[in-house]
Amino acid sequence: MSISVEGLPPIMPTVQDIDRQSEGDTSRPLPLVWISLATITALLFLWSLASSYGFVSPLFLPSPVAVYQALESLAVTGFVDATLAQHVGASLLRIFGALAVALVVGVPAGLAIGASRLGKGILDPIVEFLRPLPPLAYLPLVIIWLGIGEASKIAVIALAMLPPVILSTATGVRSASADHVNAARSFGASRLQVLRHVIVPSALPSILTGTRIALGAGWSTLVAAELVAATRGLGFMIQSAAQFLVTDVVIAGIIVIAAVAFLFELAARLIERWLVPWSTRR
Amino acid sequence: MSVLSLENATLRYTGVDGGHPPVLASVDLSIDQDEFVVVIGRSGSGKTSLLNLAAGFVKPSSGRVRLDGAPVTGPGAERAVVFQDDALYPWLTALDNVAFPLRLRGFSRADRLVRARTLLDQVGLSDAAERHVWELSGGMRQRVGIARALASSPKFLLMDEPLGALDALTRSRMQGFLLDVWQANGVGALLITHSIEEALLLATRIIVLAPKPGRITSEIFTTFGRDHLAGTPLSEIRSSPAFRRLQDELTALIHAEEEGIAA
Repeated sequence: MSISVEGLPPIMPTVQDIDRQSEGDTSRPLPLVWISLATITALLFLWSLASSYGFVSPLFLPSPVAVYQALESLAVTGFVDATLAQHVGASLLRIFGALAVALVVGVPAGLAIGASRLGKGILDPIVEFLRPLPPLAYLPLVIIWLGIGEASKIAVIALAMLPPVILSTATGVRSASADHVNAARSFGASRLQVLRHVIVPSALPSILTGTRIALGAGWSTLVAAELVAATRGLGFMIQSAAQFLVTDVVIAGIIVIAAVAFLFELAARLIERWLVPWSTRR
Repeated sequence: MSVLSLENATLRYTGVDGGHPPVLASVDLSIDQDEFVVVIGRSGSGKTSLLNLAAGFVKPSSGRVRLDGAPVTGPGAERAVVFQDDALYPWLTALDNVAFPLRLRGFSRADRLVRARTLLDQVGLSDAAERHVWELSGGMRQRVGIARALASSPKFLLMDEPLGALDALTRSRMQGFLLDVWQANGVGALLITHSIEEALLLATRIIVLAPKPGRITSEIFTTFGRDHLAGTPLSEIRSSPAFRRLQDELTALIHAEEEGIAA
C-alpha cells in the first residue's frame, strides 16, 4: 500500500517519483492518495456488484453492507461474549506485551551480536535456529511449558518478534560509521561510552525498522496464539465466527486487523520522524 | 611544551599478502606543541596511516609512538582528531556535538554547554548552536568538528584532509581560520593534505611522504602561515614570488619522486 501521509516520504518510492526527480519535472501529477482511494472504491464496487447479483453465495462473500452491519453489531453488542473493543483490547495487550518482551531481550542481544565476537558466537546459532521456525511449530511446546494462559500467548508472539528485533539491532550496530566511533575514541571514550553514545544512537533507525517488521510478525502470530484457550481477541473472534460460518464477522475481523496494523504503521513512521529525524535527512 | 613523536615507526598490514611493502617504513617524526606540521604526498604514500598512528587508532608493527616520552597505547583526548568527512553525530545539535567530549569526561550539562558555547563563538557559529548537523554547510560542519576537537582540551590537533571536501572559496577561507585556531589555542597541529598550496600556506614544517613503502623524503620549513598571522593577507602571500617559487619547487619534488618510481 502506498498511501502517503502529509509530509512523510511514501513507504516505497514509485517509478513515477524517480522519473520526476531525474527530469526536474515540476508539473503536479495525480496525487497518490487519490489513485489509492480510486482502487479501494473500485474494489468495493466490484464486491457489492458480485454479492448483489448473486454471483457468489453470501455464505462465501457477504455484501459490503452486511459486513458493515456486522461491524456495527460487533461494536455495540459484540460477538462471543465480548464487544469489538474488548476483542481489540485483548489482542493489543498481547501484541504490546510481546513487543515489550522482544525489545527488552532482543535489543541487548542484538547489541551483543553486533558489537562483540563472543556475543555473536554465543547468540548467532540460537537466533538462526529460531528464525526460520514457524510459530505454529513451537506453539504446542510453549503451551506445555507455560500453560494455556496469557503467558504462553505472549511468549509465542514474542518469540516470533525476537529474530527481526535482534537481527536489525545487530545490523544497526554494524552500520555505525568507523569515523563516528574513532572520533569518540579520540576524545577519550571508554568502550562502554562508545557503545552508549555512538553505537546505540547509530543503531536506533535500524532498531525501529526491526520493530516495524516485528509488529508485522506479531500480527500473523497473534491469530495462531489465540487458537488455543482464548476467550477474547481478534484472532479468537475470527476463529469462532468461522466455526459457525458467520462469514460477515470473519471479514469484519480481517478488516479490523488490517486497519489496526495500518494505523500501527503510520504511528511507527511518525515515531521514526520524531526519534531519528537524521536517518532520512542525511 | 608537549612533544608527539613517531620513532622508527613501521606499519605493515598483515593478512592478505605478506609480500606487500609496509604502508610506512621507519618513520621518524617529532612534533612540538608550537608547530603546524603538514604532511603531503600522493595517494598511497601512507599519509592517513601516519595520522592513525599518531592518533593511536592503529599500533605500529615496529617502532614507537610517544607523547612526552610516554608510549601511546591508544587514542586519547590529548590528541583530538578532525576527520575529512566531519564525523559529527547527526543525532546531536551543533552545540551538543561540541559538548560531546566534555560529556564523556563527566562534566555537568550546564558546565559543558557553557564551554561549548564559548568554543562555538570562537569558530563563529554562535547562531548555529541549536541547529542539526544536516542543516549546516560543509564549511560550518568542519568548524563544528574543530570546535568539538578543541573541547577535549587537546595538546595536539590531528586533521585528516579536513578541507578536502570543501569548495575552493570555502576552502581558502577555512585555511585562514585553521591558522587562527592553531594560534589561539596553543595546540600542535598535524594536518594531512593533497594540496601543495595549502601545505605552504599553513605549515611551519612540511613533511613530504613517498609511497612504496611510505617514507619521509623531504622536510621543508616555511613561514607563510606565520606571516599571515602577523598581518599579511593570504591573497598577497599566494601571489608573492617567494611563495610561487617554493610551490614550483615542491611540485617538482613530488613529481620527481613519481618519475623515480616509474623508472
